[in-house]
Amino acid sequence: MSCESIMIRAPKFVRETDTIGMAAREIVENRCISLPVVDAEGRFVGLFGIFDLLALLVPRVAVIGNLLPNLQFLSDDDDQIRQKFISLKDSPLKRAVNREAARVHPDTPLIEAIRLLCRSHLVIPVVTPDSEKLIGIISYWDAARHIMGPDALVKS
Amino acid sequence: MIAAPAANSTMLFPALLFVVAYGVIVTERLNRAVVAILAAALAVVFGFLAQPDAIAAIDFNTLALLTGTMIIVGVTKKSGIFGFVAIRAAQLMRASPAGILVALSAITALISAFLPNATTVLFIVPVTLVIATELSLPPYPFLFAEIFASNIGGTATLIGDPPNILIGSAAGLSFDDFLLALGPVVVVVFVVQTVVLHFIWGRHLRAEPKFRANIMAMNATAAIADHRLVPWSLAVIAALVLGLVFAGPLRLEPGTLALFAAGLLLVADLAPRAPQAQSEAVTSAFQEVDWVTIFFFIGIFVLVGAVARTGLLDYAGARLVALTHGDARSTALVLLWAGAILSALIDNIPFVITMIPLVKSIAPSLGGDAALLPIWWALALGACLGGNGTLIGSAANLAVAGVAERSGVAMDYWRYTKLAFPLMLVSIVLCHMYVVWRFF
Repeated sequence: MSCESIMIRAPKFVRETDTIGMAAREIVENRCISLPVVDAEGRFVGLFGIFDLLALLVPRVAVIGNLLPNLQFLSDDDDQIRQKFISLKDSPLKRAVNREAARVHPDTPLIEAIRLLCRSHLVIPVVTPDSEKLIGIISYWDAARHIMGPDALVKS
Repeated sequence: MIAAPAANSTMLFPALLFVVAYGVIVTERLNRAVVAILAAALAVVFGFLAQPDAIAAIDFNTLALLTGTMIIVGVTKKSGIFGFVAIRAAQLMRASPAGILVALSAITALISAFLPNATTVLFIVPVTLVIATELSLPPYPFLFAEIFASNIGGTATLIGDPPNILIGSAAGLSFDDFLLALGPVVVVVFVVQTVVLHFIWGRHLRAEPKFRANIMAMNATAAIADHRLVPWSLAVIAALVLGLVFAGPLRLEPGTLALFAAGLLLVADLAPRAPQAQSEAVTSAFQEVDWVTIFFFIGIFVLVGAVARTGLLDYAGARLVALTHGDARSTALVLLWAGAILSALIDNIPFVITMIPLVKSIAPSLGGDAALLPIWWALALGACLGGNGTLIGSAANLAVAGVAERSGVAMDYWRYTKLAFPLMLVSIVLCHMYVVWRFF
């Protein structure tokens, strides 16, 4: 079975020219873990998700590697964190996109998509092999629903 | 004076391999450890060095000392003690940016004297970035000052900087030998550099009161992530330093002491954990070892061993003695300056590994091993402080630049070099005066 058979076609996406505030609204309103980000030609450039959004609100050094054991020493209150978001919301999304995000092709075996879902805990974008155009996404809910089959979801 | 050995054709191919390997390392087109072990393997494959001689060329005392101290730092960092110290220091300075610049530099220098500086800066830099962000100030001046402080502090002791570990192991110099010989000039260099950086940056740094209040409101104690580990870490580091001071009477090599101390700290860390968690903690502690540096050392040891076997380094040593007319003072000063310039341009580790057999070869010309002491000190000062000159000059610089860039702070090579190289030269002028005054 390939990714094409279970992917969601024409998924929601944001453009890299959008602002962080616009993308954040999409994510929160739709309760998305992550959204694909595309360029002007519709090519997939990366993902922007709830964790990328939250990571913008803490010092970057605290979310890379294992360099700081904790941030409990900071005195920042809700208002300060909100102010950080306000200062960022009009910035271009381009600077916050996760460009290392894994992607698959329509003919990639499903088992590989499941492996990537387990590793990244994000949606897996499906792109065309030649031009990297976004054609779908695979979410872990859809993958699980597909594997379990319709009968398993009916309450006995 | 001994007769200079003549250059001959057997030196050609090992020398060529050496030059090509160094060339590739300098260009940074390939990872330096990969280049070093590949060149070492080629030296054995081509018969420049027999397998047993290649193994014998590796200084396992140096490797053990580096590995042991890296494990100690890796375990200690989990306690969060470095963050606590940095925050308290910033608060003691009442969150004044100029004061924080001095305080964080002093802490970095002090810790770098007692732990490997490349790993030490990895724990000061993250807190520095948070403090600079909270003050709404550019982190660059703080990071620059910390790079300098780590290399200056590391110069003071046997274990602070890899060149000293190499020199100490090769020449049989102890922890207190280094501290007594180099400590005074290190203090002077640190004070001078701190004053210069204050005039360049410190006095211009201004933070609004509301941002300074953020620093004063920080809960430093909350930075300690593992309260149980703090006393153990401090006790083991103190015991290691004490052990290194008494390494001579104890008849133990520094590498043995470092691995012993690392083992003790790992026991303290693992004792309360379940067996599965112990495996994970040990794996994580061993991952803290900078294996790229360790394999780089191994490769360069073998490569230099191959070149030394041809007599090329004896030849170069004899040329050096001829150049300085066998005068120990001139030889020391040539090595101080050459060491500083070359360590800034290429990594100081391969430079020192190459210079060690060369320096040993000139001992008879200068009147024996005792006459080499000032030469070793000059080499240590040049190699360690020369590392400040460029961003690739030492492992600590690369470590800071790496963390900074991953955190979104640009560390441009030329921007750094424009200020760092002249400042490094100032420190070498001070060392020049000190070497002449103290040792001749």
